[in-house]
Amino acid sequence: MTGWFAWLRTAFYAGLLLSGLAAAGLLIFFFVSVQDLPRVPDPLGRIIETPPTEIYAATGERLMIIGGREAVPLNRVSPFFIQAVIATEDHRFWGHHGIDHLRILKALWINLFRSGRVEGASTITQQLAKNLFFSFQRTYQRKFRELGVALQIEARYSKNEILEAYINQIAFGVGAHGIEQASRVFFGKPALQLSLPEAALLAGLPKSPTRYNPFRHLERAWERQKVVLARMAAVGYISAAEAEKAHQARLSLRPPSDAQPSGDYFTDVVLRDLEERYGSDAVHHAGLKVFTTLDPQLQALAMESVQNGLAKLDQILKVPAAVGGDPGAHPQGALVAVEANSGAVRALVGGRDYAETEFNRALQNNRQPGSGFKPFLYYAALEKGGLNPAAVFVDRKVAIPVPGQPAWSPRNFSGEYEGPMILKRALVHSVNSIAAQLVDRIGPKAVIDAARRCGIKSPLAPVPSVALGTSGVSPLELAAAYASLATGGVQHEPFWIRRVEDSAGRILEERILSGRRTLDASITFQLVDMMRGVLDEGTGAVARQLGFQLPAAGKTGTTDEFNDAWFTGFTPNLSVCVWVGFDRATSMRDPQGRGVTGGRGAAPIWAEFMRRATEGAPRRDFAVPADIRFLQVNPTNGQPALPWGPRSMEVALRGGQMEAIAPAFNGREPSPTGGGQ
Amino acid sequence: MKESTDTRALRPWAAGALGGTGIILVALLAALVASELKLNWVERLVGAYLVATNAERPESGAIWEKGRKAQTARMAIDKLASDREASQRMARNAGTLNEIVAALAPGQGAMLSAEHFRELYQKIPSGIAAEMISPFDLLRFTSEKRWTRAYLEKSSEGLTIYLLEANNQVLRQFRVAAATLALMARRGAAASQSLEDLASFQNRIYTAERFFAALSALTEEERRGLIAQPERLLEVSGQITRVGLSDEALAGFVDVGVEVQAGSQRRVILIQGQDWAVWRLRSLLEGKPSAPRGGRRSQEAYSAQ
Repeated sequence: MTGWFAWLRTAFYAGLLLSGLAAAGLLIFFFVSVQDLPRVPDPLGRIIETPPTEIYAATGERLMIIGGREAVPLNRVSPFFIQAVIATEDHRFWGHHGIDHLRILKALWINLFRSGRVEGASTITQQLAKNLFFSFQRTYQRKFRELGVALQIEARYSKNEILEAYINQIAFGVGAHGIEQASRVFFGKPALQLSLPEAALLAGLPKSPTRYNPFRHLERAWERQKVVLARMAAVGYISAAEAEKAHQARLSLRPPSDAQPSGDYFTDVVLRDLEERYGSDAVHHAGLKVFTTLDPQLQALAMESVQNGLAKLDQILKVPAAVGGDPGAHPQGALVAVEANSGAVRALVGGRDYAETEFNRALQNNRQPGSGFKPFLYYAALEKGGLNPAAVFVDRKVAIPVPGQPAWSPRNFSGEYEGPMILKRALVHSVNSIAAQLVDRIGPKAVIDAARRCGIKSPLAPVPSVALGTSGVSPLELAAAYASLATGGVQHEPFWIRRVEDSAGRILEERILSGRRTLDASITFQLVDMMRGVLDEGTGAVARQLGFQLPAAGKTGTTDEFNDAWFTGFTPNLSVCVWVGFDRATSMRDPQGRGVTGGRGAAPIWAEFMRRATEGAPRRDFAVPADIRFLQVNPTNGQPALPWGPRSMEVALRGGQMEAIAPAFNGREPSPTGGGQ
Repeated sequence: MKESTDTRALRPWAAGALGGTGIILVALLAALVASELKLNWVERLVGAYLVATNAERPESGAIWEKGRKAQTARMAIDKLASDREASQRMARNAGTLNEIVAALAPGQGAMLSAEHFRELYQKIPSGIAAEMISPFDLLRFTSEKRWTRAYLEKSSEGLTIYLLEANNQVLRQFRVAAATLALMARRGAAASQSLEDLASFQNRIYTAERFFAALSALTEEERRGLIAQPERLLEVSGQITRVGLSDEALAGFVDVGVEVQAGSQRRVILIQGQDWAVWRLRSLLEGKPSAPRGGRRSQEAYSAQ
């Protein structure tokens, strides 16, 4: 027995000694470790001062804020939110000195003795220290350092200063940092005006901003709000009845499309461009002011037109509604509207829903344009081939020899051949066999040259089929290239940034709106006149049926197996390209097996957009060059039309061509207003 | 009975362990823990120590890193803005087109008001100016009131000038070749003290008397071709003593060196005459034409004679 007591006595003193040694070791460890703790800035508010980069529309409306913080003092924040945060994150915040002993003990107990549960014990001060200085890596060393900084913050700053810094830097998701920004993003109001239900909802988000994002998971966010309200009741800030009432209250979330702090297809393009020019750090931290070309009204119309058109396409294709979540399961769409006489991009939609997929089909999706490429072929044929719109070709089965490969035999879309017809009719009805004969005559390089002169930059294969659009291009390229036709042959590079200023308002760059003549004005007009026929009586006639009546020209495009459907058209002011199709090459056919063509899938979107975008705009015709004369011809033989003959077609002829076709005719001169029709 | 023996045996140990040093130690420990829980003195001490040593610690961690990035980015942007402002300031104060060109780096540009550009345009030799853009076009743009600014952009090939509307739409753009700019830069410069100092004039130096005699034999158009703005020479103080004609032609122009004596000071002023007018003068001075050394256009002009 005496031996046992002796052992106990030894153990007691050994324990004391070890405790002493541990305390000394801990003290040494502490002094060594704190040497490289991060310095805490003074004042604490300085850490959240970063000027935001602001992106503006052409109308002056602010489209987006990047970086920066909209810091607000505590007295500009709803007391409900402050109570909700304290109740949820650290209800003994006002009493502790950086560490909540009881919470640590509770967390230890739970973590050690309740398997499967993990309880955190970080106070608001510790969270602030972690957010400001440390990574989210879970290590004991990081935890120790975080604790040290938290103690320093507590020793140096008042509780109000700490809380203010905390609520101004926490992330609420969808790009919102700080309570003021979050309040505006989710509820469209300043933080001071948050009601109890709104404050509780926001206070629940920082735990997992993505998981509780109310724009996408309202039910989860609502459940989380209930937890926050229960905590507020438990702490005594509100009664249980008030908590229940607040939970049942209807929340007026701002529509996500209005909020959009995380961007859209257009601002994505602008940001990428800015980062290439100035670097990512400058864009996110230097407080630039960026003035873009976007017209918010046109952009809203473009978005609506694409979504309406795609909804109709879903119905045509009988795409099941349950496939939501997989962006590849629905047909997608893109629309780009370019101001013809400057190249300014006025509207840009890169897909059905940016929140669903950020892949920008307006720029990144190089798909085959099909017959949408034919205008470049016809321009080259008129210029290099010495042809005119009344030149006669025979629509027949053709076999174009290709060196080293089997002969190329493109078929007409209808599968039928109509015999002789003039070039204008062939373009209006998108006759492939005649397009093949033209490229055989002038060569693919001439077609590529015409496309390049219009601004097409994508790689183009020098093969005959390039004339039928077998090389991929983007909707932006096509819209900008057609704009060169709208201006009578003056090419403008498309752009979206008009001016960039630094945070003090000093100009860093401004866009000079210069174009260069790359096409002959008279030949371009002949082509435009032919393309007017596409809308008036050709494959794009649906646009007229849907109510768009202003002077315009365009061309449909459909690829093999109906994988892509295009319509690109323009007025003298605006060039617009629409593409629809699946992300994965999938045929667009209705249950009856009928394919979706450019006229069926894309032209209705184009027509809806153009009709609404030009509402109330004055009628303006394409300018007619002085040497252009108009002549009514027989569409099958190209001869001047006779009063008793078949339905005639008007063609635009330039200097010398009239005499060659009809020496006895003078043709119709352009009207004084420049009207061609 | 055994229990009682054990209890008796424990007493001395307990008295030893818990009494005296042991009890003091345990009580002290308990007091420390209790006071810490109540007063947070460890946190306060550590916090105070860290506040005191804050300035000696490194600016590390996410927020400092972000701050550094922001500062670097802001400095870079500030430099861009300052450079642009400097070139704008210089452009606003420039007296000649060449002053602007000299101050711009390739790729850099400067914006001028339409009035300022017209002033600079008037200082360019009329032949060169007309080749850049017709003065009648400038008159038209001015009268239409659409032309508000001119943007000058320097490149390795020369200078591109954009005449702009208020919304930056280009009314007209034209390029001034580097050779033409070099020619303009030499105009009016006091090149040297004596014509003999300039190699290209060595072969053709004439007395003022002989030069002006030949000049008077030219037609008015030829004389204007040779000296576009004689009034500028009239402004020069001193007496013209000799005139030299360069052997070299550049962009359709030939340097004419006018040596002026003012008291004991002597200097050479360079002007540019159109090549055809210079060769006409040379044929009079020398009795026969002589071929210039450079310039395709010069050769053509010579052949035409």
